[in-house]
Amino acid sequence: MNAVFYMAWQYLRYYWIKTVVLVSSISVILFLPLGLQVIVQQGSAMLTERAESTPLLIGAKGSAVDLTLSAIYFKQPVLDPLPNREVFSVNQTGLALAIPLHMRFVAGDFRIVGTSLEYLQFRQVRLGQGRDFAILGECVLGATASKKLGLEPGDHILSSPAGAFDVAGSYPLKMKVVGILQDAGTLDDEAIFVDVKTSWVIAGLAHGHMDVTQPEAESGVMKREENNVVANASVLSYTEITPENINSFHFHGNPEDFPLDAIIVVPRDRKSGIVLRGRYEEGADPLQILVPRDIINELLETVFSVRDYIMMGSVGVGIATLATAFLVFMLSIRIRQREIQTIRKIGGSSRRLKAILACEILLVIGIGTIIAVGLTLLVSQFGMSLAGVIFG
Amino acid sequence: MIQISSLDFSYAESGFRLTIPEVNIGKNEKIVIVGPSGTGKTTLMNLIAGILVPRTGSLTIDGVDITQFEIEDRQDFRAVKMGLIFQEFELLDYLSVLDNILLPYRVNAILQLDQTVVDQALRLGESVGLGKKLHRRPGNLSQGERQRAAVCRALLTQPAILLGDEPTGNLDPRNRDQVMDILFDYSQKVSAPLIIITHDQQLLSRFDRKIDVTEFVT
Repeated sequence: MNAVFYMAWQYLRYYWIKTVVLVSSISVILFLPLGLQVIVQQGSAMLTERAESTPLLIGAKGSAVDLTLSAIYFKQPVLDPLPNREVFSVNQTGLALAIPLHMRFVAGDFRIVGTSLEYLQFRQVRLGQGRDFAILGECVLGATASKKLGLEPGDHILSSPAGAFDVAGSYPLKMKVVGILQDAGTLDDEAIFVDVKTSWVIAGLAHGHMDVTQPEAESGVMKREENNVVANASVLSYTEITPENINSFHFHGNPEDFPLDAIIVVPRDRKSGIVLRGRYEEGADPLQILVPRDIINELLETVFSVRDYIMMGSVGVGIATLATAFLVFMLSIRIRQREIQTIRKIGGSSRRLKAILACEILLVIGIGTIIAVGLTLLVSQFGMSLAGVIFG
Repeated sequence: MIQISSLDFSYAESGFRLTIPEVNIGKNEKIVIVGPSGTGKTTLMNLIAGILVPRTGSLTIDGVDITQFEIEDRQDFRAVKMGLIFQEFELLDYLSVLDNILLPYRVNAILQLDQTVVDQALRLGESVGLGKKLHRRPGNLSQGERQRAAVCRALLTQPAILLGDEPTGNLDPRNRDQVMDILFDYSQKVSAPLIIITHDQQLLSRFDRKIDVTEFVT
């Protein structure tokens, strides 16, 4: 081993506490801006990619950011719902394809996305196993959701109750898994896709129960009118949709008024998109149409300014840390004057002495840099999933 | 072997001045430098070692006037030709005993460290009774063992001159005699002049002659 390196290494190894403190400080100070930059870059790339692939969104008026985050990233919707009739209305213009989204419910940690089959085609997510959902009560799982839940086609999954105080009738629904999507590397991996009508069943807007015209349900009948039968809660409501009971499922109310959280609009061409935007922007409807890319870009500008502030702060802290480290080295050299004198007296050359001291500094900076780069690589590999775990 | 002629040295800040008209030290000579504290014993030794440079005069070793050397050349000369031993041993805490013995080879590129040198260091360590302690740190050795390690460091380069600045000042009589025996044996074996500073009256009789520095202080 090279004598200079050997001497420097022996010193750093013997005074390991001082070395660890210096190396840690340097790693952290280098890693903070590097790691932040990587996370922001990856996060913004992911956000931008998904936003750019979604041409237009329609939703209730309110926060454009909330609408975009819920429609594209499956966050809990916070805006008022919009009526299902908007889907027909957009489709009737012939200018675009409208894809409904209903995302009020979850199963465990995974959001149930009520939509149409066009959604999966639009996102180009392919089936890995099984088939698409076809009838009420069927669902298709994203790759991650399938892995984490340990479910395969043929298994069942129960939607989570909306809340203990929900008296509107959103009962848990036992859904049959009919397909698993291939890993797409997007948030679609973490969703459970059902037909939007199935979402409405979970919402209690449609239900199935015992045939109240049959004698076994007689005890639950409270009143019979010409076209209507009033029954009490003893009439059994189905919590699973099976071939035997599917025909008993029916909707209450006008399906055109049923709620959606957003509509993804895929214009035929650029001009159609502009025409459609014009109609909504001029209309008096309590609806908004927006370009997700613009919303995300605005959001990212804020993120970038925060990042810039943190970077500026990091540079300041970095300079202070390096100055402190320099001071530590200088003080260390003063403390080691006797050792340095001994080496000189026994014939140690000034050049070799300087090389050993410089090597110690370079080793500390080098190891600190390697650790910082290693941490940055780790963050670039696992940072987004780690951020997902930390921030939900 | 060592000729000092018309040498004049002074510390600017203290006004201390050493003037040596002439001193000659031959091969194989055992010299003791004596004098009260603060009279320039260590200064004289540092001048001989080339650590200090006189204002005027010459100091030749084997016919080479080292006062004419640049600092790097003096360091190289010292590394190759001289073995120095100090009262406080001056071993480096962060190196093992073996690495301390090998230190001259790691702090000056003029000395090439190879397996032969390492074997020689191991043999030296063995010969002074440190065989089983060569991989320990100096902090784990007794005073006598530390000084023996320091002596090994001084002898490893097989120096032509041995210089000791109160090398036995911190040792008990048994260890003192052991260390002095090693130094005298080496000096005898390779005909190297041995120049020692000491206050120990019991050692004086072992030397060929003494130099009293008070004669040179002006």
